[in-house]
Amino acid sequence: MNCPSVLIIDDDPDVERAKFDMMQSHQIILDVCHPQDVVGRQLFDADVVVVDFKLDEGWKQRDSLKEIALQPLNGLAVISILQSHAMRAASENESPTAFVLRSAHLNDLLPDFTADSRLHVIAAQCNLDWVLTKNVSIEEQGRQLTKLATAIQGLPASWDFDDANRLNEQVREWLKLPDSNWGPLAWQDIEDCHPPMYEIVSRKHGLRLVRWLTQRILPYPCFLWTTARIANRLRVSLASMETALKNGLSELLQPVQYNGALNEFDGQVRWWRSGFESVLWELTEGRSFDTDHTRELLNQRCDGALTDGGMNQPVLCLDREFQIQDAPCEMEDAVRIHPDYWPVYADPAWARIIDVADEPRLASAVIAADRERLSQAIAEGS
Amino acid sequence: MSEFAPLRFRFDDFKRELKTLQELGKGRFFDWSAEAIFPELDDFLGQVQRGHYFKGTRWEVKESRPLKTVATKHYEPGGGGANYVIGDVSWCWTICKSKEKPNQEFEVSGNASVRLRVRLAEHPDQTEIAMWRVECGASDSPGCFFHTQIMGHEDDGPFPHSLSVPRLPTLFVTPMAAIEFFLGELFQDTWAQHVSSDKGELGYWKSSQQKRFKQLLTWKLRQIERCQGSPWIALKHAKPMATDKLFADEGR
Repeated sequence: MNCPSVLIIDDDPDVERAKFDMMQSHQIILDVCHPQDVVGRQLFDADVVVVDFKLDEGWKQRDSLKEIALQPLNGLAVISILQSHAMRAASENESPTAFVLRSAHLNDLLPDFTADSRLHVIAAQCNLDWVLTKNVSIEEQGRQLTKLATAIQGLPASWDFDDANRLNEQVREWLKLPDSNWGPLAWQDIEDCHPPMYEIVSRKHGLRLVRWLTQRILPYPCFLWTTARIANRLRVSLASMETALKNGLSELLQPVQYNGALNEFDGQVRWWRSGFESVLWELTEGRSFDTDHTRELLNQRCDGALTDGGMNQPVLCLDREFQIQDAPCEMEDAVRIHPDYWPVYADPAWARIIDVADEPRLASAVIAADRERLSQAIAEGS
Repeated sequence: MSEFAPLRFRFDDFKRELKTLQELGKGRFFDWSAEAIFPELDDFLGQVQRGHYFKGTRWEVKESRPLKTVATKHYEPGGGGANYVIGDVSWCWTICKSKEKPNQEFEVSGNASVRLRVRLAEHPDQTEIAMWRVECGASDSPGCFFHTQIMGHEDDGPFPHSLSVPRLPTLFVTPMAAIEFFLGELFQDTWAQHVSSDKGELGYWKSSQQKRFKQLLTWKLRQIERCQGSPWIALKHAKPMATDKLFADEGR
């Protein structure tokens, strides 16, 4: 495998080169240039091309033209042009290139969205592979780009599209699904989430898998669970779960930690859901439905760090910005919502009734079956 | 003195339980043909809810087109059963819109019977090797009201149609609860492990079944506590009364 490479396109390349210099230490090949200096070879050599959204200054050649079709006003327009070049010139065996838009002003892209909280939605809406917000540290941006470039480098050089079993194997390898007794269940979970495997023919099509993972899987509760979600499964607080992991539980759970492509892409550790359930099942000898008993056995391996969260049927809710919260609430105090773009294969989305009552955008997403319960709850509360 | 009251359920509860059960069972437990049956059941309930069904209508899965499980040997732990078997479930519940809350609730106004069969998967005609029914009684039935009967659908052989006993007490009231019991029997380890998670709507499934079990067990407990003679005979003769508010009202 070659060293992953990133091309950053900005109207102030010297400044950006200095900022991202630290990426070199992550064994990433970094190239920075002005939009008017990009040449075709750079597009194909890079695993990730990052373009700044605002290109207002320092592009005199563009500004001096009269033909508006030759004047890309922002980075999104530049990406469209570069994507079309990449598509036209690409041979079957050319490695895929991901296009990422980077900005501190993502609200300008889709003004109706709470942009920073829904990067995956913006990326999907704008035909981008990812969107990078400048509202996080440069180190965090560099870390994400490194993860993305590495995931693209890790895609197979060719896809066995005419051999379904081998194709499955290639996707499993990319996701690093362990060969274990719970592997078949996890694979079934993956298939339920419709990976775009059957659209993959040429090498470049691997990018669809990257988009699927970043935009349709990681932001939602599917076959990979965040630590907050496994804490919720055990009816314990996130803080106590994190303490338990430090106190020895990570040893038990290490085989079911997700280490595949784009692991910790958003900074969150994830776990194979089927693997986690399998660990509990074996630990409890088939009594993992008994949460108290399960917690008791787990506590023997982490100095009793897990404490009962005191809830009967907790659910993780979306807040008013449509962000999934780490702190749960009782199911009876929440209603199901279906935000735009929430995949049907993901676990249901929930919102606290108290939040729904105050936030019209949340209220409009409440599913029909829960509206009556919501009205009753609001009437009783008022 | 309270009077017998037909069982009442909320349309929304049943519709959501159906949807949840379909999701829980698809692929690994239900045969592919179930994918067509569940939406029909949901549609029918929706028709009753929206229409003028104040007289009994049959909400059913026909015996000729039952809900089927995939073939399994997991009726013994670890998949060690001697034969591959298939479960099939059919039911007929006679229901109508409730008079009190016609747009929200329905009543069981007649026969309420779920038939569960086990068949040999590898026999050409999938020979039936077990059959039982989960039923709710009528106002004049000898009890017990919530019961299971073995076979009773044919004129000869053991448990023929002419023999209406025994009526064994059961904890399973709705078709969905009877199906979960069935899946738990046919897939001893795998179903139990599957429903131990928090996947999808399992949280809802747990809470809805928990609520209904609690209502039923509390009701049974009340019969025993207030009886003056044999507790069993009290249970056997007990029928849901208006004051019991089974199952739609309680807890709301």
